[in-house]
Amino acid sequence: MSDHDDLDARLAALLAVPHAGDPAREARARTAALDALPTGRRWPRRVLRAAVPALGFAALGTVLVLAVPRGESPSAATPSPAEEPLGVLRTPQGPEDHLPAWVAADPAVVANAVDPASVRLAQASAGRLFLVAHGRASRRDDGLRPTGSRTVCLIVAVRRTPGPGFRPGRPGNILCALEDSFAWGNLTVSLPGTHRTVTTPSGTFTRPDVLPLITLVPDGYDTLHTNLGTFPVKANLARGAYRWTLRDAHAPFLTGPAGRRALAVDLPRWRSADLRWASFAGFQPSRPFDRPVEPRTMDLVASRIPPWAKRIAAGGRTTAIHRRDTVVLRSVPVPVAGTVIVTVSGVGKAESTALGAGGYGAGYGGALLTPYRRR
Amino acid sequence: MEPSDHDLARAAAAGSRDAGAELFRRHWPQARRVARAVVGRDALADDVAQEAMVTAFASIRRYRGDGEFAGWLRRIVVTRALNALRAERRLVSLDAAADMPVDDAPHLADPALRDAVAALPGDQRIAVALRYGAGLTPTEIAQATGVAVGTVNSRLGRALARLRATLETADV
Repeated sequence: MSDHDDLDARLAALLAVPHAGDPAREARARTAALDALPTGRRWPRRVLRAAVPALGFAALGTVLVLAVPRGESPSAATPSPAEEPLGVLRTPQGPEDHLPAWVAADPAVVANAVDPASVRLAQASAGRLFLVAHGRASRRDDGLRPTGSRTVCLIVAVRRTPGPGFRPGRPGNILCALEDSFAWGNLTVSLPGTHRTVTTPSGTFTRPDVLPLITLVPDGYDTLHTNLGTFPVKANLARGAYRWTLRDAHAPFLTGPAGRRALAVDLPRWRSADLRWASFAGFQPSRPFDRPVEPRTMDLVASRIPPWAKRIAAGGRTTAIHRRDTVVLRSVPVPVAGTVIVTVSGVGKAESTALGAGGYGAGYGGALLTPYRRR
Repeated sequence: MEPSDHDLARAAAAGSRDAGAELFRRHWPQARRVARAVVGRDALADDVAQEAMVTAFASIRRYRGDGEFAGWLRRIVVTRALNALRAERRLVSLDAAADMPVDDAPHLADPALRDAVAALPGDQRIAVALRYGAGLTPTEIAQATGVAVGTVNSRLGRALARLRATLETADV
């Protein structure tokens, strides 16, 4: 074999791309791509020119009658009951089935994330409401990506209305998953407290190795099993806990009349194709690779870093590892009480996020996000 | 007879999800392969390929049918992949943190060649990745990267010469 052939063969062997991709990932991409297709027929320009004056008067009258909310798309219709993957969404809407006023008042949430008419209260705790709703396709001209009409969303919202000092910086995080069965997995697994709020977490959390686990559950499953026990499924929602530091422990799974189904556990990691507005998205006890958990420190996972960002600092450190649009801030000291301010700064700009930390454990298990912009 | 990509694209532009689904079925594998060849990691390739498909479908009315749909899509994929790599370079490593793996998997095969490819100038490395990783022809690479075929051939030639020189030096 000549040198030329030899180099060609070595390059082909080194760089050849495996043909088999992840079918679930492909299915997600397929749904996202199809959701992006334009709807309706585009009319030729000269037809439009002739029709615009007449349509203008008709449209004016129609708008006055219909008053369609911003961002609503005719293609974002709620699926028919027969298609619903979650029984809770098939139930009649009752008086408790609505978004808290402070959430509903945020146009970014209602117009770009969920369909208020589909909201159902799945469960409630002393301090939080666990709501399920359909995502919605939305307009793209406001710079926000839609969650997509074929998604279901879990909204964890505090009951208490934020105080007058509350100043929204950007929309919070709502976890949404594609309805198709393949998507049930890590997209639907959520941590509490990742939805924007301004309150401190309720209760204390004293086990940094335990991950609260909240997940939407499709029909046909009634129990969530984790390495800490079993947790009942109620209204398509399971609330449990998982000891994440046991790497060799079995992954959580669901059981019920539909059989057994594994549940992927992952820290939520939003990608640009999912939700654009995710900022500081997760946290975990600091555990450097192959080392034990570091006491009184945590790792913060942030995604959708602003394009102008040059530096990221938290708790006096700037350690960060970048994985595309996700940054992991390592070993951030957690104060016994107070907040951790994470600052993203660039040329002439700075944006901060306060992570409420009611104590070491709470800082991990229930830290809540308070995004705001520093002027 | 199967509809052409052009027919499917027109139907998809008019809102047909079925046509869009067929287009996706035909072109996803190569979109992902091209993305994977450029970015080198599976997870990032999935993201890039998905974003490229979403971009292509959202702007499918701009596809006029005067060239292959596959070529038009490849251009979008490569642009997205390069943007992803640029964004990564811009933000990477605020501080040294070598104890956490970032790559999906370690590359164990042919480390000398891997290092030599990694040391190539960017445009040559992309040409090599698309040629040997995605299996594109020089014409297809030219379409995807927006340069002339002669430029692609020149980049490939220079890259191979450089690789040979590097490997020979390493063997000494």
